Amino acid sequence: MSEVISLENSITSRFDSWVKQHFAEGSALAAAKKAGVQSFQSLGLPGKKSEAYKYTPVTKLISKNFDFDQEAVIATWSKDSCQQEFYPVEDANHLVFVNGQFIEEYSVIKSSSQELTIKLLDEQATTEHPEILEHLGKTNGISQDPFAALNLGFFNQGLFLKNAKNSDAQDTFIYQFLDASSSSPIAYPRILIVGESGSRMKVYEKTFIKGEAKTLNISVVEAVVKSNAEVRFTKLQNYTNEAFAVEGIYASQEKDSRFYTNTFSFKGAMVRNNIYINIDDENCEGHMNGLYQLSGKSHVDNNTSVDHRMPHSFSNELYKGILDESAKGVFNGKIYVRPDAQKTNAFQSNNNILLSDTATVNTKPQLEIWADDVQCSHGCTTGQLDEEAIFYLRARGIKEKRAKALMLNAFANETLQELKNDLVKEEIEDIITNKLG
Amino acid sequence: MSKDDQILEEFTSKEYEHGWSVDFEADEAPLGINEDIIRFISAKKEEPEWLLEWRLKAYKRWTEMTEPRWPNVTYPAVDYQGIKYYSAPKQDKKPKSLDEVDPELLKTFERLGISLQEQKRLTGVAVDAVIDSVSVATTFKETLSELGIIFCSFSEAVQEHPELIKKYLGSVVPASDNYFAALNSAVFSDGSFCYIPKGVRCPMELSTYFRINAANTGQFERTLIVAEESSYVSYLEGCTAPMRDENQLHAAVVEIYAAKDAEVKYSTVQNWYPGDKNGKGGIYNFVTKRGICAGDNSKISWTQVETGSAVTWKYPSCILKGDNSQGEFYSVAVTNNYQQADTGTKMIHIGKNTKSRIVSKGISAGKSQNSYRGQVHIMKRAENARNFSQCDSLLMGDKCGAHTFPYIDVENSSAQIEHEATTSKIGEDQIFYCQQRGIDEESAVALIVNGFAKEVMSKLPMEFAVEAQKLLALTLEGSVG
Repeated sequence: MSEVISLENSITSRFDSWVKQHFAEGSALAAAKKAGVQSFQSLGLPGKKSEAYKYTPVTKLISKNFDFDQEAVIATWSKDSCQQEFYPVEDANHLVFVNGQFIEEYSVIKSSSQELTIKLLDEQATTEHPEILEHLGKTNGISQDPFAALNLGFFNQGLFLKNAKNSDAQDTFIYQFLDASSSSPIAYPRILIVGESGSRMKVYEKTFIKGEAKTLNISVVEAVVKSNAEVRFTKLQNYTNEAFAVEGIYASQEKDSRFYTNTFSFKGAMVRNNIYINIDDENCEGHMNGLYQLSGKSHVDNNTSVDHRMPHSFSNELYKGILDESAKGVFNGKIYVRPDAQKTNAFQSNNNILLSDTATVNTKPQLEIWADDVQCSHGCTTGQLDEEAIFYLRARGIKEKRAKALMLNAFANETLQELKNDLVKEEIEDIITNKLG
Repeated sequence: MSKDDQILEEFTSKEYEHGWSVDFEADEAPLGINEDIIRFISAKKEEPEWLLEWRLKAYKRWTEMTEPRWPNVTYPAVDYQGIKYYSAPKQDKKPKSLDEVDPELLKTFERLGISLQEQKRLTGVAVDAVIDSVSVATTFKETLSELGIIFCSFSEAVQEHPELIKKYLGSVVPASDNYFAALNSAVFSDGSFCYIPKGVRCPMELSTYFRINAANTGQFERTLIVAEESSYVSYLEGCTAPMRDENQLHAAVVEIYAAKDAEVKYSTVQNWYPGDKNGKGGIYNFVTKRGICAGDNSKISWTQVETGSAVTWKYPSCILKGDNSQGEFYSVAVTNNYQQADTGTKMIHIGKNTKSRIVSKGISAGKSQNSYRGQVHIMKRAENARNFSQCDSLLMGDKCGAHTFPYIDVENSSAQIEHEATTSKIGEDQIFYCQQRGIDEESAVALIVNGFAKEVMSKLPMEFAVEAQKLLALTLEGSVG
């Protein structure tokens, strides 16, 4: 326990002097950040008995080998080296984060500012767009996670994305570059998305890590999806064996809105995804899809929650896992239907395939239903490939390995159905196929 | 008042039919718990030294533990010093036969519909009747002993078969297993002991009937069932309590040991006093039940119908240690008014080719909360383990809740696990369909609920099935609106 406290202290002891350096004293943003750190201190890092982090003992894994002093971290990513990694899409926004900080000059922005506002999340932005303070750190569910609170305290140069009313924005790609070649950085990327009524946007996030040292990415995306708006957020997590991450996506949905998340995880020492969707009004749709295809000692924990607060909404969740070698997959899906949320339809499904005896899966699909006129279900399976299907393929001259890869590919492919960008889709399909060998 | 409200009103005013109490002279321990009380209980029972030591050790562990708060239930803190840990109907001397048992006691059980007169029993069911802290009578002992079956009260077993008790007591549920198990280990007063020797198939159902009678008492009984190689036994448990305004604590422990090729079937119809319609009073039912399939090809099956208790906290579990062993859990949990139930099972797969099956049906009405909490754990060496779980919840009314917390942990790639859960209410179309065919709403609901619970009900022994079906109908009558 004392170890946890000393870890907490080594994180927060720098806060006061750090915040003074970067934020004007007395500004609203500085106050919000202070509240974030205070909330982190009262929540504390999840200990051994924490139910939310039961299968992902963060404190044990994170240890103290990081450079808590953000100023000491060196980033060698240059503009060119960043831009080389861009998807070859002309008519799109390419936004660059280096070690958790949004770098406007490295980024390429194609959308007009009348349609899509792309701004540094700083004090100036909070005066120009007062709604920032209205939403920042205010999404329901966010206050319960110590890492989200920590991010609120320590984020610097976050990103504010606002899609104007009825605008159908170009695709937005967000690239997170982490430099672990000479130091072990902690990054605190922060993104606030506001989709005005009737607007549609698609955001894709991908991370690049240079070097062999440890990285810790504590990120938070908050999305406010207004009436009849649509936001799609896709994440590709193909990290290194030394990468630690606790990443949160918190959305609140207004009437008739749609929100989609797609999360694809392939590698990482310990990756924890917290996805929390609030259905705050009627007739909304919330979708969560995910795939975790892991080998080696990778550990991915998907912790998702849909909170139905109002009637007549729909949520659907599909997570699939393929676990090989000593990988560990964790899935915790919660459907919460409040007393007012009558006529809710909520579905959840989690399927896993274990390819080796040293791989582990822990799943906990959870339903908490307080309204009676609802249809909710969850299903969860863990098993192997169908022997007969493999035999069928082999009887037709397909080698065993190839037959298995074919079956697993089909298994994984279902999670790609909500992915709208062909380039990203192809890339993910390639990773899946390569991993299957 | 609409018809629906009327029906609801009628139902909620329906009284708990076993809510009466009888005054008999009782032999009681003073309020509270401490080492002296434990010594007092142990002395009352004339227990050997090692058992007292075991109790004291458990008590010491208990004082170091804290009450679990993770179940999805809320209740005011239990005042452990405000409970009487021992209360026994006074009997001058130990009755040799039923003729010597206090007729008041016999009448009490007659009134509950449990006849202790062997000749009056229609079917062959041997009963161990427990009032408050002690067993008052055990029937059919002689018939059973001819086969070598030991079926007696726990205190008797301590005196007559100390070697068996010493070997198996705490072997499945260790004294320090959890808060309530530790408390039970320290203060348990009686219970049933059952031993089926090798190769014997028990010819009749064995049954224990628990009754809390005295006020301010807790009931802490302990059941131990040992099934030796290739034996079979079916065991039933029933319980009721008087209506009282205060909450009473019931913290029992049930241990089952199944050796190679043995099969144990354990059925419970739990009908403790659930409290009144405003949620006042009722039993806190905090029970630890666990069985171990220690030998190859053994099987343990739990069936439970839970209709009573203000708060239930109960997870009958199976440790599937032997190869090819099987565990089953069938449950119907019904909650109404302010009842809360957090119940489910644990299936721990250790041996090869082990199988488990979980069927849990939750029905919530009124302002009640009903949770299923279960774990399926496939250990590394459990090759070809198979599990099927199904948890269905039925909601009646918009003030109640149904929750599911399944934990699925798999460490072996050859495992096949399926889990599914659904939550729904009785469809208007279903009721309409029945009404069209001349079945009134009330009967239609009963029909649908019965169908919903049928899979579990069909696993109950015949005598219990009738009682359970009646209970189900009584508990839910008119609760659809």
